Amino acid sequence: MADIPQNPKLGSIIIVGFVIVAVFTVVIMLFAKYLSREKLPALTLTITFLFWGLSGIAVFLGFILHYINMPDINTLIPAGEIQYSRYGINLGYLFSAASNMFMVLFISQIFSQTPMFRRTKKTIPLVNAILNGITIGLIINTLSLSLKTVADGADITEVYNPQYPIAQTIYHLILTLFSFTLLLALSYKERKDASLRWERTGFTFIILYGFSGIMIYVMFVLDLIFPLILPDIFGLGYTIFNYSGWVFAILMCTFAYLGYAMPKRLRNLLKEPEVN
Amino acid sequence: MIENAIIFSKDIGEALIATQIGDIDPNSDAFSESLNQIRDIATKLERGVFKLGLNEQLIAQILAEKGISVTFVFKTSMDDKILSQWESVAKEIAVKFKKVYDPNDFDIVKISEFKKSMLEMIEWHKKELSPIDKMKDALW
Repeated sequence: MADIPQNPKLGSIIIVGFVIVAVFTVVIMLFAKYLSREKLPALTLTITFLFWGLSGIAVFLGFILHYINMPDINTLIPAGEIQYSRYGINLGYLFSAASNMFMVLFISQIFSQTPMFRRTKKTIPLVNAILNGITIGLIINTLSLSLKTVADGADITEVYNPQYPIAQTIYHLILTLFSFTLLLALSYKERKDASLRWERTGFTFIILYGFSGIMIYVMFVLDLIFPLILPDIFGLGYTIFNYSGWVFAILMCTFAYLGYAMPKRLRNLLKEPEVN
Repeated sequence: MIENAIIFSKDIGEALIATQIGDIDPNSDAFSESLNQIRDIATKLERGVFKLGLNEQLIAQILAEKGISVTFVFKTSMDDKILSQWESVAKEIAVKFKKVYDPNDFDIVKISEFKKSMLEMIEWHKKELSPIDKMKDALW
């Protein structure tokens, strides 16, 4: 028997709105880079962030529709009616998995010179895409199961109420950990080899971006786990971990903007004075 | 640009692989004096990296490991940063070569097979830009 989700809190909805603005700022900056240079890694990274932005929009719309239908935090949308936030979160994870696929592809394009990618060519992004494809398949299955009615044999609490099981969330966390850790490790090595300050700083921002990216999903998993083990302290959802996850998302976008788009003013500020 | 690659055995004091990549053939008479200079260092250097100026145009980067050393010869115009990137290629080649080379059981087939994979590694490194250059090319 499925549970009925808590109503989203207004604070949570607002912070997701800020995340969307932050992500699409990065998307626009990266797309502008692609248009001016027409280089494939810039396009791949733009798509990575675009999917992440779509993930944010899906969650945001789910939360908004849920909130409009039931603004009172203490009254849940009854069983058998559409649980909008669940659809939003599931679609959010679906787009996030798609974003993961393109992120590893981007890593393979930028770090193609490394022995790992010389030996394996595009095997790593391909396997990663398949594994993330499993997440997408599981979510599509969950969404289609939620469309079953009581007449089809579904429990009333399962109707229009797609779950997001902890196992599935942890599976997605592992894949996200893999892609961000790969980026972190390769960027760390490259940072050590970089000779100019602004190049080192660029990779530092990319490392911070990767760390923030990992923390988002760690926070979301904690938001699922803590209410289960300590319900008296953490209530039934939208805990401090949920808010922290979205704050890390804003940080991730900020570091992505600084590390990938690297505004000219920042680069000039970091450039060492020329020795005559 | 990289001109040639040479692997020395310290046990026998000779080059086991000497292959041309750019314009300069390491087996040519014109290069023999430079080859002797490299051999002197490459077979004596215990461990580490040594840069040896051969003449006005060429520089050799020698990476010594236990039993063997890997040398790349470049045009002197090569940037220091790029030389350090090649160092990691030399390290990888040295590690892999030690797996196929046994001074007590010299297998010419294994060595010539290794030469092919070594050339593959070098060609890949030449073809692909470094991550910093790719970032500069696409984003920075």
